[in-house]
Amino acid sequence: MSRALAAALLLSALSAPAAQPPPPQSAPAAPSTSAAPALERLAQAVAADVRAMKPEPPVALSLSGGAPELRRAFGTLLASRLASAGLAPVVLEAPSPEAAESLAREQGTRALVRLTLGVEAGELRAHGDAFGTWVNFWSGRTATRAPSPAAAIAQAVEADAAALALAAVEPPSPRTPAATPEESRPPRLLGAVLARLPSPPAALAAGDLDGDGRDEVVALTERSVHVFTAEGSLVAERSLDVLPPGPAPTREPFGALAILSGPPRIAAASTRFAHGEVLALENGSLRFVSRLEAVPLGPDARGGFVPGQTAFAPEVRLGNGEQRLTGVPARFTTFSSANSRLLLVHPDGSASFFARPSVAPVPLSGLGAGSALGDLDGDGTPELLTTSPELQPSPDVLRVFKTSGSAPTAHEPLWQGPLPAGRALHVVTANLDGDKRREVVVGLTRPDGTGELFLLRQGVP
Amino acid sequence: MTLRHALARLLLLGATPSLAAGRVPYGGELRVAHTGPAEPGEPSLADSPTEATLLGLLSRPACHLAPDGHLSPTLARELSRPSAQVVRLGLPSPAQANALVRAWAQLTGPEAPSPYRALLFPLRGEGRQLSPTGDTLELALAFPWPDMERALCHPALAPPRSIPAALGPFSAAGSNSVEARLAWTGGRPYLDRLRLLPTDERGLSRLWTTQEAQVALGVLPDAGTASGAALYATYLAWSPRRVPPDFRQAVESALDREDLTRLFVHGPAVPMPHLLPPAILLQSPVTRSAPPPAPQAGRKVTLLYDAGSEDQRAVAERLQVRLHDRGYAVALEPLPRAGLRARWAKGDYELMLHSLLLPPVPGPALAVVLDAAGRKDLLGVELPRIGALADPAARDAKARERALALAPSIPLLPLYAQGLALRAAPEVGGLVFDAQGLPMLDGAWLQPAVTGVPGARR
Amino acid sequence: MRLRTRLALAFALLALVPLAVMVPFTLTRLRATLSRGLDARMDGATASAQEALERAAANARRAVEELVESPAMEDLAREARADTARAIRADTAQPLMKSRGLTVLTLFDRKGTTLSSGHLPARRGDPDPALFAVTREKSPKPVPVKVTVRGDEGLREVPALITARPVDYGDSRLWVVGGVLLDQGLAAHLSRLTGAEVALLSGDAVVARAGGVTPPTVARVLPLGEAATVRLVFSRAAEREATVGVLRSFLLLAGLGLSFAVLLGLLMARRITQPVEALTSGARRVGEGALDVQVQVKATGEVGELVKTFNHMTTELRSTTERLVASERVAAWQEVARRLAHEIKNPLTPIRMSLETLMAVQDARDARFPALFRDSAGVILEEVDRLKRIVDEFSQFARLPKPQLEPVDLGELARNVLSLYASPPPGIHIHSEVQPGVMAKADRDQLTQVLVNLVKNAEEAMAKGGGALHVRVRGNDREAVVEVRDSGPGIPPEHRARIFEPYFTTKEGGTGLGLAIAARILQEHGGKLDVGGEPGQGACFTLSLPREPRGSTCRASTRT
Repeated sequence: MSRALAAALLLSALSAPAAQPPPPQSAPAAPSTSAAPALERLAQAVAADVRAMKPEPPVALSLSGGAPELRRAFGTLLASRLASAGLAPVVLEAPSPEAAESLAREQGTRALVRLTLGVEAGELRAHGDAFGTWVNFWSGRTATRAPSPAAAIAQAVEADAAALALAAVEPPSPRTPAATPEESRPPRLLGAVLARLPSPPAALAAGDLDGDGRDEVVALTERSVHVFTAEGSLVAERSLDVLPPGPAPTREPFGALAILSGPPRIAAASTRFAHGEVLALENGSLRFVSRLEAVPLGPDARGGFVPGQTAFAPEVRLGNGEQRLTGVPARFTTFSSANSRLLLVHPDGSASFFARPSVAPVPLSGLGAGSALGDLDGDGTPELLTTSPELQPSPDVLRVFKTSGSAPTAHEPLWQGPLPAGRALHVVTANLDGDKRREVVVGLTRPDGTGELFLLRQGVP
Repeated sequence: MTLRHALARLLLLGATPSLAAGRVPYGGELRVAHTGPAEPGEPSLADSPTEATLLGLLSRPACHLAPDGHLSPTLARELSRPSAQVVRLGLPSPAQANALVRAWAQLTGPEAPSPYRALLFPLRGEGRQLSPTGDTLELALAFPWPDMERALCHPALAPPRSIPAALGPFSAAGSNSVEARLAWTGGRPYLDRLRLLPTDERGLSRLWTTQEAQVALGVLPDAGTASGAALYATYLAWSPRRVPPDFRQAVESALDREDLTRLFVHGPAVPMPHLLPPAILLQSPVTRSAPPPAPQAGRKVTLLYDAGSEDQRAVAERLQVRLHDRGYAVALEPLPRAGLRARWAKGDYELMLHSLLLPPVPGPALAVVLDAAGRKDLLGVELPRIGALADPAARDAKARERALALAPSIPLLPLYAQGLALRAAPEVGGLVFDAQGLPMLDGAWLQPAVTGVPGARR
Repeated sequence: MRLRTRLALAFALLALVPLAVMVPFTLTRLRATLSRGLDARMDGATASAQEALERAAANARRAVEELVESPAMEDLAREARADTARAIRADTAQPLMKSRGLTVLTLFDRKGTTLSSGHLPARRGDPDPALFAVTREKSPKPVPVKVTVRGDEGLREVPALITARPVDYGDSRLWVVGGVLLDQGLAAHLSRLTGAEVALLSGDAVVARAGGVTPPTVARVLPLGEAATVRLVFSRAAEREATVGVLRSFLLLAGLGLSFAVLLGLLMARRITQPVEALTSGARRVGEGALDVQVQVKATGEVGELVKTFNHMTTELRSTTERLVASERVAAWQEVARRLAHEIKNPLTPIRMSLETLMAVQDARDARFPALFRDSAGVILEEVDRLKRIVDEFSQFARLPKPQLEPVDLGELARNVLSLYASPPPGIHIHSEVQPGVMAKADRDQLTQVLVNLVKNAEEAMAKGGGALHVRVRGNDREAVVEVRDSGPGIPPEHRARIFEPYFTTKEGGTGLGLAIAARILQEHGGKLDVGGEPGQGACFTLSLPREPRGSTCRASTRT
């Protein structure tokens, strides 16, 4: 991650309108994150807290935790907020929170705000304390107050992709270039909301549609296709309502989505409709390319729906249709392929893992429908990502396993972390920033009946 | 209990660990015990929540209203407004269009008039001269009525379940058994089959305790039961010419709605001091208006009630007792529901208990109530004034306000509103209520059996 | 009244009198007996009704006590302590009530609020002071209370036997107030038990009524405290029916007896009166001249004697009459012979004298002989003619021809006869009075001869002094009558009996056979000829002809 990228992200965060956004429910038709970026909202909330304790200016700010870029961006935003409130903020670069106090006293500020930043379960959090650093004039040095915090500050806002991107920016360290992909350290994922959908997702896919080297995220809902940028803004949307209704629709939105190679195209099929469509992204809109009879499981895999059910029939054709995947034991609800490895998750939570399409599958168990293969650490071997196999887990958990061993899920996961409320039935990996490591996008069905794309990306260790 | 709580609890109930890849499992047979009849009648007569639920398995109205107000087409494939005064229904086939027209014509026709005809009042000609073109039905409105679509979701506007064109999430498969309909617009239900066990209240608890039923519809509200919105409203209607002018005061002073709901009426019931149920008209304390009139002996009145409704019988008997103190000798005459409606349509009654499944939208609900009170004349005055407001919230507020204003002048006394309570076994998931307060059995699913863990149940 | 009727009546009376005495007496006794029976039955029924009520009360009491002791009630009390409204519902009491055979059951809380009512579920939540007052009763026995229950036309108050028991669970107390309604069911039960019409009264209002009895009735009242009264209405119909039955059988008996008595009376009377009637008819026939009448009846005793005497009498009478007739005939013939001899002797004398004169002259050879011979021969011839006439008439009398009967108009006949006298002798006036159309069967010639004879007689009777002759023809349905009346000297009574005898005459030159022949003609016609009139005032001959063959009356002496 380059510094330029971080700057661009910060710029985009700052340039977002500062107006108070309307509540998400009132504008369900426009799938996007909240109008104000998460950092801005957090800074506003923290500034309001600081103002409420009426500190004596000048106020020193000391930030810790999170990625340096995130700290820097937040510090800038908070300082501007406090400055506009007339508190004359000074951002300290202290090695530790403890050291910040003496530094503040040295700099002669009258108050100190110490905050720790973090991204956790899709939330951007800031917590810390604020206290006066007034020095007794007569004694000159002795602090006259007890070293207990004068006020506690704890604020959290829903994280967004921009905040997540900042959090993921690794500080330039001498080790990074030397690190080889093979000795990859376990991934550490931070999550944030990428985009909101008016209705639950039926399928997810990611691929580079516009050729900029970064993947777009495509989401299929019951009746339309949405394309989002890596930052989570809506690029294009197309309703499938022109298609004839399907003979056996499913109650839950269910479908298949794939990014076809060659000229990048979207192949989408929803159980709502009798057949699917192949679409191309052109000039910010989706154009109809051709009618699609088969169900696109992946870029080069075709299948079929089980009528009326949220599952695919156990027949998978690979390539241009001649090769049939053998050894599929039962209907499946999730298909994922990466680096010629295939994963099929069956409705009962079992899964078939094909190390190669031609060999017999390895049966796995305890997988959720939100399962995917993806190379998170950039080592060339895809990791297995899976959600909880439980019907209604709360919260749902994303786990990352190695696929190199014989029984991937028998080992301890490389990483696991909670997901926001809702059912996570769709997981894809995407290369949103152009580096070797792939990010994770989870399609969530929220309890209120809307959908959400949740982004998890590598954070700083 | 709010719907959201019920939903949350259901979600919790369904949170028993089991391996299902996170997807709702398909298949299985759900045994549903209920207190309704084995064969619900016409949609306009099968309007108790239980009956409407059973009817809704096999025949659905054009659309469906979610508790959050979201409207989705069900029988209709699409529901649109090509212009402000026209509602267009796109139906799966011309058969459904014709069935709807016929069902609605029966509702407004002279043979079996029903208060639910008021839902169609805003249509030009009150919906009598509808004719579908192919599978499309265009409803021209006589005046602006933005609530038309929401009104069309009322279960009484579904085609009768007996006709072939009736469509629901399930199709009949032998007596007391329905099978999932693969081609249902809303999606095939998760369950393969529902086995319906009609019984009475005693049988309900027996079937529940012996675990023969996995869902019990129409149970008494209790911890562990879920209830839908209380929209099944019961009124006391009277014929103003046949009762003394101070009758309203007499009943108001004699009757305590709290008592009725607490002591006499089954199921989740709430007192209803205003014309519309508390679910759509927030309650404000009712001021006792006039002092009760002096009891005057020797007044004889006949109270008609629905012979098929235990609650109505209990309430009728309660009225008999309470009005006795006010000097009224109340004779009770139980009638089958069809007979009751016929007497209502002819205006041939002194007192009558009316139970109506009101739509969850204030405007259409008010229309139904006014018609039930025998004041169909008011519909032409009140509905255009409500419909003229474009903002849904303002419209609902206006309807509520009119309901409050009109209440003293119409010969109808609101008594209580009931919902439907159900009890579901832990293995049953996805059972939620719609805006009408009816459980959506098509959304239910069965937890796959977990080996080694006996189906423990409280 | 005839003896037979009298006898039948007497027998009937004889049959009725004991009945008339018996019936009222028997009926009175019967009524008294039945009334005693009814009283006993009513007493028994009233007692059994009372017992049934007490039994019902006892059952109710036991049922309530069992209910209170039952585990179900204990469970209920325990649950009610936690949450009364949930544990005790409107329909809680009803099954408890029904399973215990009660018809009233209310569960009250400590304050008297109805928690559940089996007989009036709609009472829930209200106080029911009348019923709750039972909880303050000292006695465990059920007391009569007015209970409000549902009716078809509103609520009504029905008396009931109610008892109350508390159910305590910890510090909470439930009152179980239950009992039995004195309702239709109980009334029907009592009615079945007593066979009476049972009415349960609350005040004046009839709460329940069962059974029906036919009037006339008698009522007994069984008070049940202030709340209720049981009225038993018994039928007197059985008693009345018995009385009526007895009366009816008495009447039947009376009718039978009466008819039997009448029959017997008639039979007896017949036995008694038959000889009497036979005697009567015999006597009548004897009176009518049938002297050989013998009464042929079987009779014994006095009546037999009477019959025997009667028969003897008629036999005697006949023989006497025969002897008398024979002697009369002899006398008549003697008279006829004397008269005939006299008549014949009279001409013989001149004949003898003439013949002797002739012979004397002859002997004398008198010259006058031829002249004298002629004279004498003339006298002899005249006398021989006379003899011949006498003999002719006698023979005519003896040989009157049989009348040739034919319908004759008597008026016409009379007019024809009178026309012969169109110019009567001076001093005599003829009057005729003819009823037209008087017809009779008669021989016209003979009847004309009779009439001519009568008219001629009348004319001759009035020849000296003149007078009026009345001829009158009249008829009734039985007889036709012709009266010929003159105003002559009349017929002295001593001659009246003899004027119809042959050769009786008062006239000079009469043969004395005219009226005898007339009477004989009428006798041949079946009619009669009577003579009437007072002496000196003229005579009246009445000629009667039957229009029918038989029967005639006469106001005067009659000759046939």
